[in-house]
Amino acid sequence: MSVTTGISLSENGVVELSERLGEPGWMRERRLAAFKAYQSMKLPRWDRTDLAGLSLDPLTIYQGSKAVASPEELPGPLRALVDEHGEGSHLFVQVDSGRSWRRAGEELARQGVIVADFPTAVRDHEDLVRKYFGMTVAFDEDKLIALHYAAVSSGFFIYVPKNTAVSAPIELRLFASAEGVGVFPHILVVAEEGAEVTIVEGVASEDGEAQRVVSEVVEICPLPGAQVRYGAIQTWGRRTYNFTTRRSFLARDSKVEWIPGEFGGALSRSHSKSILSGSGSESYCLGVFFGEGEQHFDMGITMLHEGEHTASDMLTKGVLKDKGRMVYRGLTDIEHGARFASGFQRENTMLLSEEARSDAIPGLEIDETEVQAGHAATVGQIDRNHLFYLMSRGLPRAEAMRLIVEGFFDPVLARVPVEGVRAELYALIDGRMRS
Amino acid sequence: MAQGTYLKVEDLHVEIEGKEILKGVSLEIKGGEVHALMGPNGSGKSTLAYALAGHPRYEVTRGRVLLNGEDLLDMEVDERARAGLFLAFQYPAEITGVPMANFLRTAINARREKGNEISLAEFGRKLREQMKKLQMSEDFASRYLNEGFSGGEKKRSEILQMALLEPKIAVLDETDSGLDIDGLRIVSEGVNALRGPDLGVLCITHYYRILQYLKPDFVHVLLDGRIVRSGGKELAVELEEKGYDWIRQEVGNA
Repeated sequence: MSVTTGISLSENGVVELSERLGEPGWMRERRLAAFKAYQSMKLPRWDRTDLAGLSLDPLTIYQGSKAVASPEELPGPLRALVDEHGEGSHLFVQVDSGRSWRRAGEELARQGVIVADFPTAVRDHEDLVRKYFGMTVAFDEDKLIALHYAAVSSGFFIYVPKNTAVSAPIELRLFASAEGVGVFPHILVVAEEGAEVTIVEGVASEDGEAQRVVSEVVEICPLPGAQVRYGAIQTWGRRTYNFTTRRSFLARDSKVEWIPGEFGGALSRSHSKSILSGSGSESYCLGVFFGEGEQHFDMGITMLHEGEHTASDMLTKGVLKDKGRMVYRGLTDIEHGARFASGFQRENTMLLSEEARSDAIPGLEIDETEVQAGHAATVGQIDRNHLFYLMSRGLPRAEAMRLIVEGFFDPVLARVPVEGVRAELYALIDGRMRS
Repeated sequence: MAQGTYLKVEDLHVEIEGKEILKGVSLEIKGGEVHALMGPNGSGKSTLAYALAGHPRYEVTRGRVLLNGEDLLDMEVDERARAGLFLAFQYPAEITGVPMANFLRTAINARREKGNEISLAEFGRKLREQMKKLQMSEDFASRYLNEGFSGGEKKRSEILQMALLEPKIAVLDETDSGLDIDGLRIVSEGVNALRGPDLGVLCITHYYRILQYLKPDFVHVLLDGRIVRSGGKELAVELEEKGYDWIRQEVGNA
């Protein structure tokens, strides 16, 4: 029986990782440049989010795991998912850094759609990957992103050919089970002209006592007229420190919808950013979060308008109980020259306990005159009159609160365009209200 | 023979923010009876309604309320409702995101044991039946709880809930306010349809109009936190003709 040894974060470790993954030389060079940047930088300082609890030394960045051969070998919760999926749906399950288990409808192959494990794609689709990898999120933007580019060992590469519409959502499930091992998934999506695809990513882990570090990067590259919907539901374990950076440069007339759901981790910082550079491009974000215990969420959404006739809208709603904490940073940035831009954002937090805290920092930066923009952010408790009304009809307090919270989320959930995602978000919220 | 409903309010004193509003109210309502509680603004009518329902801002400083022998004041808001108390609000809350049908079914099931929930079919049938009686179009069922409802629609929504929840004691807090003549008639018919030996009704109102439809058995006049006069239907007629000042004088002279 072979023993899979873990690789520690170090220059030698990075080189060893590259060898184990059988990568081309350029990829190794990229890793080394990123590692150098990692070493030279300090941890980012984010207002109101304290990284004092984060431990990066020592850090195991990789541990080889065997591929999952059949659904029976999948961890429990994932097995249930597989059973629920019918014909025609596309499900890809990656456990730790192993090769993914997949059940893809034949539609994908027929249409020439590529869904490959990222390490595999670096070898098998080298030209494409090399063209787009790291172009949207640079390796040296901050220390944690540099860590990602040095240690990346999982994730997916998705390519949709020109004018191809993938009808069923492509579901990516990443699950970390190896205790204390870091997770560094890269999701690279290239949607050629006129392509349409919906991707739903679910990330989760089984945490023991050791801290787990996740640094994830999602790059979405839509070419003119392409439309990409990206749902990301995060239910990391309670020892996980998660740092996710999602970004897209939108070409002319393209559209990107982000649907981030934050539920897990000890600390989770996720930032989704769309740069609306092509004229007529549009981006929307529907965010949902539910924090409990001592969780800390730092959720950022930025819509940067550069081209003309661009539109953006953000709607985020979340609930905090116990000592949950949320820092919300919404930025609608309309640059000079982005004429006829329309950018709106709204965020509402509901606090279910005295000690929960939410800092909503909406921002509007407008450097153009012919635009429409607006923002609103609220933080509040459950309306006591509403609670009294429902209880006066015989509903016990907990049930009345659950109804009010579900009603609170309804405006966001009703707009989620992917049925499966909506149902999953609803189930997560419902589960938290009953716990 | 089954024992009918019986509500006994004994010497109830209620304060809000340290100020005494009800100064010793006593009342007995039996199943099959409709009691009207009338009084000028500020007399404490709504205070009685909210205190019975258990609203946290209203503090009972003295007195007792028994519903079918059980101490009502000792119960939580939801327990009182499940014990059979129903309050039709003057200003019902609008709760966004909660569909009416969903809420109504949850409220019905709150009174049933686990495993004995109302079936979707039966619920649907009952809901449609009651909505028809109250002349509410079926699309109300999918609308959010009271959201965007007109005043009249809100009042009908309250009576719809009453019809589905089958309470033992219904307190109608100025249900007539904001209703036009048609609305008044529909709501009154709704309440009258539920009259029976198991239901006692306390109709709180400022005006006489609704009593023409509801035809109370007893009329009480609340003045400055006390019930100063009780009588039959004729008392309401007299009040309508002579006004509240007349009662004030009468009481002053007594």
